[in-house]
Amino acid sequence: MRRAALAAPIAGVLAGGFGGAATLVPAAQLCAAATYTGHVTLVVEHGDTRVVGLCIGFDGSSITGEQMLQASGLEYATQSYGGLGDAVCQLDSEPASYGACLPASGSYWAMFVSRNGGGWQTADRGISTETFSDGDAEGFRYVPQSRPQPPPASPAGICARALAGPPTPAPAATTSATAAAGVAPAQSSAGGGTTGSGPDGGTTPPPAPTDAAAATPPPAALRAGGSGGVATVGTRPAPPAGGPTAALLAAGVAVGALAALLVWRVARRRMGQP
Amino acid sequence: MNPRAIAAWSLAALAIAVSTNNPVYRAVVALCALNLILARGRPGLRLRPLLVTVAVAAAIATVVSLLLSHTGTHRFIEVPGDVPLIGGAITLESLVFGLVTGLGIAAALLAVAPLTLVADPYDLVDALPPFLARTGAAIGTALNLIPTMARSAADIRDAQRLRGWRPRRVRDWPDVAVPVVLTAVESSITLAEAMEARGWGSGPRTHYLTAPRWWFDVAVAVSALLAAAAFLALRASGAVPDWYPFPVIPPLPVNPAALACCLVLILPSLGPDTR
Repeated sequence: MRRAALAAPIAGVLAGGFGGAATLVPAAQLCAAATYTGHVTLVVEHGDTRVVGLCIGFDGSSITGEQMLQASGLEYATQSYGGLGDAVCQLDSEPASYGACLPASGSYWAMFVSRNGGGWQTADRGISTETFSDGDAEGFRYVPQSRPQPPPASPAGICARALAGPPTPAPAATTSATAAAGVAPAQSSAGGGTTGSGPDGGTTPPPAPTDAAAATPPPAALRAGGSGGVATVGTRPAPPAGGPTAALLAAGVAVGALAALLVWRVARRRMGQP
Repeated sequence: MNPRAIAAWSLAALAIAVSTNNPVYRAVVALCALNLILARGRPGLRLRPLLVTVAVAAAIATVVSLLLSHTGTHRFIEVPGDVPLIGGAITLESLVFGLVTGLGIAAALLAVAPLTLVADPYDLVDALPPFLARTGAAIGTALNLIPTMARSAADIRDAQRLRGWRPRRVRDWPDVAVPVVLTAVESSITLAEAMEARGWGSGPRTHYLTAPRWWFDVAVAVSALLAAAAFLALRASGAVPDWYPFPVIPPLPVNPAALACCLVLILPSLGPDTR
């Protein structure tokens, strides 16, 4: 397991997971996000287009996708897929319950990665095996299986705004931490999930479903790994109808042309022409 | 075509085929290689053995992946878990992964096929740099020994049968194997004496006839190597990511620049006939 020295809030989350809300790390011990050596962005886009964007600070060279979810404070449940790693079955309480982690029909959590500010790419590993360095981003989007997988909202600017924000005062941060405990994510109680996480280790009931109207940013001290964090909650315009990209169409045309050329050469060869 | 140009093209095509698991790029490389073989193949070339080999290798990879990889969302059937190795779900995603793996094997085999099907083997050995000349000659001689031994084995088997030989057990086959080995050793000694009589190894390598190098051959070699370098650079930069059909089959990401690099490989099959 990587020896990334994770932020104190992560330690607080894990400590709370073992001992309940009473052992949450006081806000005074939480470090400012700006003091971490690395920062990554987490973007979660729900099926109803609600977007949650978080900036996660960490110390060390890299952080895994699962560590990011742990640091974010979002509720999540996973299932192991062997060498590929763990897949996310439930995230931020969506879906409310599930039988199969990746159902044959319906929606699922598609995972994306962005390297060093580049565009979103489909992840080829699970959250437990995918690693992120400073400047990278991890994205999740709840999409139907029958449709193409458009990426989530852009991660650009989330960490910049988080690092530029004023430090959260200690009393307010304490209140925030306490408030976070009250709505601490809990382990999914639905069947099929094999892993769950939350600040209190899954002993509290699932939080009430959030809605677009509840646009209050979550506790910055806990969510963003320190003071100055920002959680962006908002909506995005409906994406255009999905379809093959121009590059994919061009590739199809190229392959078709090469195949046609091959058939033509075979026909000439059979006719005895050079 | 100049054998060095073909070697450079094969190296570039092989580098592209093995560096990515995106089936689009692999398919383009395979089709370009087939076009090159058909356009520039030696007279009298038979493609059936190559195609059969490629098809068998790809089919084995597909079946192995289908039976051993139980990951995926869309399940065909469920093999009882008690069955060793193949017990588990047979999924559409594992089938697609197997097909992609088979396509990669096919692309790699077709990428190096022009070295034997387009280039003359003697020209290929002759084109080796001086420090590889002896090694290439030894390898070429050894490879040339294989069909010779096969013919010798058939002849000896027929001769033994005329003498009443009927193989019933494994212990009967040394009656054919020993003469084949002795014949091969005798042929090797004769070849060595012939090479020594012609002064092989007595001084710097000479050439009776140097394969001509046309401007087109240079263009093919340079363009192929540049295309491969550009493709590998795109891979290193993350612009050409890996593609896996797990846990569900995602859309194929296609980078226009990478696609263009692969399409450069069609150049030798479109150019003028330099024979």
